[in-house]
Amino acid sequence: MPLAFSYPPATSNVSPVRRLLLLLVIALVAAACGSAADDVSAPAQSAAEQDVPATASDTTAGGEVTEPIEEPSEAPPATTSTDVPAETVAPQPAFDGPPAPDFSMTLADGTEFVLSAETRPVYLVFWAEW
Amino acid sequence: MDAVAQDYSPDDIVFLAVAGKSSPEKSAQRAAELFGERITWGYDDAVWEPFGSPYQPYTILITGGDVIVEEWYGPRDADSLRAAVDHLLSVG
Repeated sequence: MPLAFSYPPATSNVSPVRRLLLLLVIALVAAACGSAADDVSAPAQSAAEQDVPATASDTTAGGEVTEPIEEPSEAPPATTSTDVPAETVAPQPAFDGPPAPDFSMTLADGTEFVLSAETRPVYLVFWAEW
Repeated sequence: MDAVAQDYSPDDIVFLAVAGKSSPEKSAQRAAELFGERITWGYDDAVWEPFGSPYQPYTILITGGDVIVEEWYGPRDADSLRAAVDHLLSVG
């Protein structure tokens, strides 16, 4: 940082003590600026060392690492149980068992029975008259 | 089986007895003695084959989605049958 100072002419009546104080203030200001510049570079280096993907974080002009930016997701936003429509509630899983072979037969009353067309549970018993 | 079947509504479950390994005439005579109106039955040897031509009596409980819930050979007492039917109705 270039600093331009115009010192008072030698003929001025500024005392040596005040001149020394002025130089001390200038030195302190210069030291403070140098320290701030070091602080600016530190976070960027830290982020690089953490191997954070560029899309997951951002560094501001001031060198501050911001919170990771959440990527857009295809999943729907989380909802609470109170605002879930009734039609989206998962139905109860079907009973886990072996499938019954489909069959059809003519009953004694002349009607046709087809297992796959029957939506009610079936109590099926094979029997012989002997 | 007949007494148990009368405890359940026809809207809820089908009781179907498949006769075989004999003759339709003899089976009809025996069915008239064994089954009331709540049990439907028919004679068809071919239906036994998909189920492995089982010994009899052989009972299978099937959900409305055609999944086997339980199966067994031989007779069971009425309370045991009711428990089995209740379980079938509870799962579908």
